[in-house]
Formats: sequence, structure tokens, C-alpha cells
Amino acid sequence: MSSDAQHDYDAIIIGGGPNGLIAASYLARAGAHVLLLERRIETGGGLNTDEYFGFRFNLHAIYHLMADVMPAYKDLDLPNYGLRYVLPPYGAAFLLPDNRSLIFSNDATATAGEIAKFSSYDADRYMNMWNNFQPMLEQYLIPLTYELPMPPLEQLELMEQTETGQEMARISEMSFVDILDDYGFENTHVRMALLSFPAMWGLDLNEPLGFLYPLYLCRMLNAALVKGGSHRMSSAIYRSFVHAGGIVRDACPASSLIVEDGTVVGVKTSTGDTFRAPLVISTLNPEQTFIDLLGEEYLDDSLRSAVSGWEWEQRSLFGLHLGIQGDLSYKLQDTRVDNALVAFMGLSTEEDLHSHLAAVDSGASDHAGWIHVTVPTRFDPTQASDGYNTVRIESVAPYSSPWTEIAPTYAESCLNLLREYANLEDVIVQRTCTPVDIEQRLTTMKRGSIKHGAYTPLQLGYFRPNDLCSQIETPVPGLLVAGASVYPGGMILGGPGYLGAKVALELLGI
Amino acid sequence: MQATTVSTNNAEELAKRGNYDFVVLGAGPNGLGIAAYLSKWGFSVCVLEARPEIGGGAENAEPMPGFSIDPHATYLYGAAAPAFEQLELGKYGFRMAYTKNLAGAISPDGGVFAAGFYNPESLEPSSLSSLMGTSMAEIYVEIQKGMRAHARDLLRAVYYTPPYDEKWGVPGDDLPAVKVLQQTSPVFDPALTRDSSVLDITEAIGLPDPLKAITLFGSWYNGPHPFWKGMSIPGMACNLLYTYSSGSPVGGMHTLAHSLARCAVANGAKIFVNSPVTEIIVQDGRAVGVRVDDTSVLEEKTVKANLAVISALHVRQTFLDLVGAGHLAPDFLERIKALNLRGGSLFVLHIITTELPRYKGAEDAFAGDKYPSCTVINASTDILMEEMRDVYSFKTHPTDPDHFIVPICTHDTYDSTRSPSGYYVLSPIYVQCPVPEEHRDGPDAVNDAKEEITETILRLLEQYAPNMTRDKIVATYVNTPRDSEFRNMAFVGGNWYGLRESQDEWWSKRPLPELARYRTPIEGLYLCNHTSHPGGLCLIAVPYNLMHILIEDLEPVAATTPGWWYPSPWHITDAEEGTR
Repeated sequence: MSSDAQHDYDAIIIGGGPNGLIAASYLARAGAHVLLLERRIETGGGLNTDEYFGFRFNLHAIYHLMADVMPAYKDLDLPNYGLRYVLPPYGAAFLLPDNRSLIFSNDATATAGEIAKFSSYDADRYMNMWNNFQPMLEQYLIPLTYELPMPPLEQLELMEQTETGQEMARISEMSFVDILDDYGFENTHVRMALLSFPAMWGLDLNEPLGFLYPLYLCRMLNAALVKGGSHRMSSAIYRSFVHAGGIVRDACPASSLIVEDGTVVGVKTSTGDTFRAPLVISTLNPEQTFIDLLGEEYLDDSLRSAVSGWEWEQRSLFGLHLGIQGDLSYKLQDTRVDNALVAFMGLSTEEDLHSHLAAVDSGASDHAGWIHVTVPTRFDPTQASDGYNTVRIESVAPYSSPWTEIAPTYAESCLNLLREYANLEDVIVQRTCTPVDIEQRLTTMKRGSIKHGAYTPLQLGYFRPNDLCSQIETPVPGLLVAGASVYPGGMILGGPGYLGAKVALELLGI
Repeated sequence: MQATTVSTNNAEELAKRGNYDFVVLGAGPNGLGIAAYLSKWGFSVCVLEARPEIGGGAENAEPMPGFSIDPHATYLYGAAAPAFEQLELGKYGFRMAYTKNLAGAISPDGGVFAAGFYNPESLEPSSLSSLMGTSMAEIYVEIQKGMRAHARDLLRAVYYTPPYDEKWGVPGDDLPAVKVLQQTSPVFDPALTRDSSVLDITEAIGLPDPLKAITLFGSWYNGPHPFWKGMSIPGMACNLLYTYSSGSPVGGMHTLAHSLARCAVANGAKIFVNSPVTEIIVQDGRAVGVRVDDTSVLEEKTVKANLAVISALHVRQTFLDLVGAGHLAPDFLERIKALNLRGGSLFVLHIITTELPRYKGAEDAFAGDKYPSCTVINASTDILMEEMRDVYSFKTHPTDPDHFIVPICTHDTYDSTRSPSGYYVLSPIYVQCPVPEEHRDGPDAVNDAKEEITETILRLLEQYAPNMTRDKIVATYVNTPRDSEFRNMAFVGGNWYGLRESQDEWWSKRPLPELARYRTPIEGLYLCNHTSHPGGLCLIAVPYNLMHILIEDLEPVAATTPGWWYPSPWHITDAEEGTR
């Protein structure tokens, strides 16, 4: 490759997060000469694990919904570069104020048994829904995560050909709430629990996003942790890339794209370097890619309006990370709660959840009313020293609050809420990660938007980031996009990077 | 119900993974350096690291989003390393940021000094004449010019040559460093230089404060005690080390580790983090592999080494924790236990501010791009003496501002990646401490005084730079000697240099005479840590020196000498020594 003397590389990738790394590694392993540019000194993006005094904190991504299901796991030989997943026995536990609990696992029958404690009718509904969701995942949702999106009508036509597809098409028009109504769930506690799976990621429960439900419920109940912390996943991809001859430049922020005759031919960096390649793949958000790096003068009207209409997520996350001496144990009798990947607490009914989210949307941030908690060290003791544990507390939170001022009191309210349900010994280290911190550490997540942009019907599927760019190629020759703002989105699915590499390899003729 | 681990079922991969030519313990600069050398040479190499991240002392941390601090090493000292050419580190992303004035100093009586390798003005006698008078300034500049002209050779002679075996009895005047030093300036009398201390040299030249203070300080903080006789060459050389580099890798020292790791990985080395080694397996007197802790990501907990096991861990950990006592002579073990860990424990403070300090009286000397990267305040020889007395009497911690001198480092003036615009990182700020284990008030004394010490440093800083009022300080972070050891297990006792750097633990005696050439009593086990010559500072010197020995010992290594390799011109092989 690189026969053109004008080019330093076959492809330049901007951004060393999961998608940039995956795209880079696929390309390099296929024989392309690839440069990866990373603004920070460490690649990984949201796959971040920071150590503070012996405690390893995953400040951003932690739950891996597609773990070994994503093609990159095998294609890039990631186990051989040190990636290991740990599967907790139970996916989620809901702790109710009346001391009852509801435990979910990937064993649907067992989960239905749990639900039956609240409503035997809903237990049947759950089995019914779960069984309907499985073929949707296998036949459509998982494979389609790693295929370029089709225009909605074509997609619909294809789905109409099978019974499962028809059912999927039907629920796609519905909201999460609609789906529960449709399946006939009655019990308010069960409904609160089921709606928490999409709500914990800040999704709107009333938008027609129903096609995401099987993923958010069933894959969350199969979610894994990365042994040693989420950053180990990025390290594995990084090593597979470097081993294949890929070049990483860290502490090297891209400052502009080089455009010649309307074609992107390279990247300038703020360190004064210039790199040229026939393909530049940006994994940044649309605003960064098209306005900050490319420049508005190169956008035609349709692309300009698509980019300027990009919406950030309405809800962000507040994280409180604790390093504790001794164990955290929940006050409930049922010790299975301790072995759940995520424990939810603070709410009781579906109404509580709706009103809590409405309060978040109106900017309320005086205290945390709903938290979900993970103790990674319970499943992976390597993330703290013997006798110590890490605790990760997250709360869906608004962006527009004076976080620098209120972070300590908000953190205290998280801890107080946790202490209502759990015994925990000495807190040795405490770190907060506010929506503003998210944006400052990872600039792609503007306004604390952890998925690089809202999940709304008009920013998903064929429309992510917009109908001009969702096929990875953009209207600007030489410029490709493959970050979380591109189909199928963020959350460490490994989709955009995989698709980005696939399209780039075709364009390069490799 | 237990959590289950998803694993690979590829048996072929597993077999391949459990068997390497070389197994390296520790992924700090030394472990990564030797892994890069050997994998580029064509061998299969596996690096096992206990911590979650590679880098060892070459670490950066982001305690607040967008800010990068250096918990340990901060300046590149290894610019003279052959590794930069031999391992093509530039190709693997290594880039330097240079500063014009590396060092600045202000004494309590207002004396100001600033200099840097990339600042030609600092070699003008006129720039120094107010400090030391014209004739003294001329002598000083002459010495500096000689040192700088021969800097790379001098540094390679001191650091990048395997120590000679003490048994050979090579005359002192034939030591590489002495031979090179003779060429730098007629001022140096080889014997006198070799046998004196840094203090003797500064007094012989007649250096005034603050220059004298920072010369002594530069030696002490970087390892060699400035009062120890026979340590003037390493003491002066380590001052030269950081002026010769005059800067830091872009983004911080961790990027040096990255470039070494990339070289290794690109050449096929495997690096596994979270994989502490629990035992070096010795069979028939020979190291044949290692066992890793059950918590490791490796399915196969035994990793075999066909050619050698290389320990980049502390010499004490290597022999006391990992090699069974039954394989070693009792008196050898006793001498390992007796190795002196005193000195070299640092209290490190990091400050995030909204302004750079504007030092009183240094407005002109530090103006514009002359602002030093490292400004030493309280730079007085008397204060340094007080500090040494405190540290070596194990009885205090630095809370008396008249008892310690403080280097205030920042890279913001020449590397934009360290902090968001409008903010600055003053990091690291080092203060010497007694070794925790020997502290008169108990091993937690310094930890317990974190806030008090921080407060004292902040007061001292404000005294020298009145603009540094509390409203300019956004956050402070501390790592005490105990924290350093916790993060970086090879800093036994919080000692940054592994062992003290004294006449009896330096060159052909480091860490013990029989270990000086990186070989051990166990065949197939080699040392590659800062407890071997020439010590720490991320020099990539131990790996380079060790390569000479591996070439001599291991036929497959010697058989395939690649074109890019060149040995030290002063190297003497054991075979050559036999015919001397």
C-alpha cells in the first residue's frame, strides 16, 4: 500500500476510543498502513480505568453488553492480547424501600420466579416477552449491529418477511412504556424495574425506541466486566493494532483536516505535524468533525443543517467512585443482591421513576433520588488490594447544573442513599465524576453526552448521525465517520469502528 | 454462585502463550526496554506486570479531567540512550518537548540563577558575572562548555556501559567516565575528580549560592549523595543528564513507556498487566520460567522461558520473594537483606493553579520563554544542610520552611497537553523525607502530616511568588513515600533509586559485586532493574547494558546480531578480560 508518494498512510484515524482503536486494528491487520491520532496521552476514550492509591476506578464505561459477542473479540484476537471478561451471576437487583428485592439474571425462568413474588401474572408476561425478544436479538438486533443501516422502508420490507421481523417492526413503533402495556405488565414495582434498564442510560421512556428494548434488557442481563478494568479492553485492541504495524500518536490532538479540491487528504495536529492519507476516519462527534476540523465552508446546505441540528443527550450521569476498606453488604436478607452486577435503589414504583426522570429533566440536582451501584471488586478482586473494595455509584443527572459547586453535596446524597440500603465500612478514597467532568475528560461527550448525541428516532439507525453519513462515508470525499455518533451508536458495542473499517477496506481495495 | 470468566478455547494459542524465549518481570522502563531490545532482535518475549498499567515510574495520572500530573519521574534523563536510535523510538511515537531554561534557582537572599542547554545566553560569562564575578564566571562557563561538548560521550561512559567486574581490578584512571572527563577540560585532575565528592567540586570551583545549592541538590535528589567521597562523577553526571535532555516527552513520561511498549509489541512481544509473578521457577540451578498469581488474566499460570528470565523488579523482591531460599546461599541472602534502602524517599506534591508563580526578584531572569521549567526555591547550601540533617536523623518531616529547599516544576510553558488553557499544573514538587520504616515517629509519620507539609510548601511558595495566593490554587494532590511504594512496588521503602547511590552501592558494586554485571547465582536469571547499575531515572541504560551480557552468555543472541546494534565502545567482555 501507500503507493502514492503523496500519502504518508493509507488511513488516518482521529480518536483512540474503542471505535477508533477497533477500526485502526482491523485496517492494520488487513495490511493497511494506519496512523491513529489521540488527543489524550492514553488511548481508550470511555474505556478508562484510573488508579488512585491502589483503587482502580472505571470512571466511564464499565458494563460490556456485547463483550465476546462483538466480532472484534475474535477477529482481532483480543484474548491473546490480554482481554478477559468476568460474568457476574446476577445482572441486576432492585432494592425496594419496603425491604423487598427483585433480582434479574439471564435465566428467564429464575427471573420470572422473582417477579412472581410481586405478580404471578407479570411472571408469565415476562416469560412471554423474554421468549419473544430472543429471536429478535439473534436474527436481527445482534447481526444488524454490525451491518450498515438500511433506509427505514427497506428495513421494514425485509423484516416483514419473517414472523420475528414482523413482531420487531411492531414494537419498533412503540415506546418502552407502550411495550410493557402491550405485553400486559400490571405490577408497578415490576414495571419500575423493567423500565430501569433503558432509563439507567438516560433513554426517554416515552419515545418510540422499542426496538432497543431487547438489547437493553437481555444484553444487560448478560453484561460482563473487563478483568482489571475497562481500560484493559482498549489496551488489548491497542496491542493488536501496534502488533500489526499500526502507528499511535498520543498527546497529538487533530486541529484541522487538510482539504484539496474538495477532498480530505490529511490531518494537521496542534503539535504542528501534518499527515496525509487518502482516507481520514473521524470518531469524534459531528460538531467536532464537520465544524471544528473540516470547517463549515466545506459543508453543503443539507450537511450543514444536519450537523447544526445534532442534539446532545438530555440526561447525563453523575458518578461517585469510592475506595473502601472492607466489604459492602446490602442490608437485605437475600445475599444474592450482593452478587448482582448492578443494584438499583431509591425508587419503588413506576410513578416514582417517571416523576424522578421528569425532575431530572427540569434540572433538579439538589440530591440524588435514584442510584445504581456496582461493586466491581466483588467479581474482579484485581481492581483493589486485598481487604479493600471499589464501589461505583451512578445517578442519571442533568448537565446544566453548577456541578463544580454542588458536586460534594450531591455526592453526599448518593452516599446517604446507599447507606440506607447497605453497610459499608471506611471510605478511604472518594472521587466524583460529574457531567462536566465527563465532558472535560472526553471532549467528544459534549454536555456530558456519553453516547456522543441523543438517542432519538431521528438520530438512530439510518439517521445516525444523519442520512448523509450513516453509511460511514460522508458527502466529503476522503472523510469517513465511525464514532459513537454513527450507527449503531455508543455503549462499547464496537459497531461503528467495525463498520468504519469495513467500508474503509473496500474503498482502499484491500 | 461465583462469577465466571470468559476465556479462549484455542489450545494452540494457549500453548504458544505459555512458552517464550524470554520472560520479563515488570513493565517499567527497564522491563519494557529489555523487552523492546529482545523482541526487535527477533526473540519471543513475554512481559508480566503486576499493576493494571505499564510504565512503572514513567507514569502520568489525571486526578482532575484534563490535567496530567507526574506522580514519579518528570524529566527525560535518558537522551543519551542508544535506545532512541536502536529501538527507533521516534517511529513508535516518542516526541520531546524542550524548554529553553530547564533550571532556575532563587536563594533566600534574592540570588537568582537560570540556565538551560538550549539557552545560549547561559553560556555567556556576562550572564553570570553578577552572581559570581567575571573571572569565576569564565572558569565556570569553560567547564560547562567542555561538559556540554562531550556530554553524550560522558553520559554514555557513566551510564551506558556495563560495569567492570570488580575482580578485574581495572585501575581507577582507566574507568570510562574518568577517561572521557579528562578530555572535557584541563581543569579536571582524574584522580582528584574520581575520589572527591560533589561538595568538594563545588567548593574547589568556588560556586556561590544559589548555583552551589542546586548543584548539590541536583545530585542528591537524583541519587548520589553530594557529600560522599568518590561520587562526584555520578553526582555531576546526573546534573548533566537532565540539562542534556532539557525537557520532557510530550504529554509526560508515560509516553516514553508507551513508545518502548509499542516497539516491543510491534515486534511481537506479549505484555500482560494485572499479572503479578509469585515465583521464579528454578530447576537444577537454572531459571526455567515463572508462576503468575491466580488473579492473572493468563489461563496458564506457568510461563516458561527457554532462554532466560529477566527480573525488572527490585533486587530484594527478586531474591527474597520470588526465588526460593533453597536455591540461594544463606550468606548471599543475608547480604541482599542488608542492602541499604536509606535515602531517596520523596514527598511529592502536585498543585493545579490558575496562574504560574511570578517569582519575586526574578522578573527579568525568568521573563518570557526564559521561565524555567524547574525553579528551586530556598536554594541555599545552609538550608540544604539542615534538610539533610533532618532526613538522615529520621526524626522529622519537612514542616519548617527554613529546613528544606523545594523544586517547583511545570511543563505548561512548553507542552500544551498538560492542562486546559487558563490553568497550570505545578507538578511535581519534591521534598526529601526520611525512609518511612526508620522514621522516629513511626512509618505513618509523613502520611499523617500530609496536610501540614502541603501547607508549609504553599506558604513557602507564596513567600517566593506573592501572586500564589490561595484563591489561585484549584487543587492539590500528594503522594508520600508510602503512596509511591504502593503504586510502584519496586520503590521499596518509598526509595526512588531502589538503593542508595553511594560508593559501596554504585558501578561495579551495585547492588552487590557479584551481581554488578546483571548476572545472578541462578543460571538463566538476569537483573534489569534500577537496583542495578546505573540506577533509576528511566535512562533505558540497564536494558542496553544487559544486552552486552546476554550477547556474551546466550549463543542464540550472539548468533543473530542485527545491523542496528552497537555496543558501548568501553565495554569489556568477560572473555576479553581473560586475555588482558
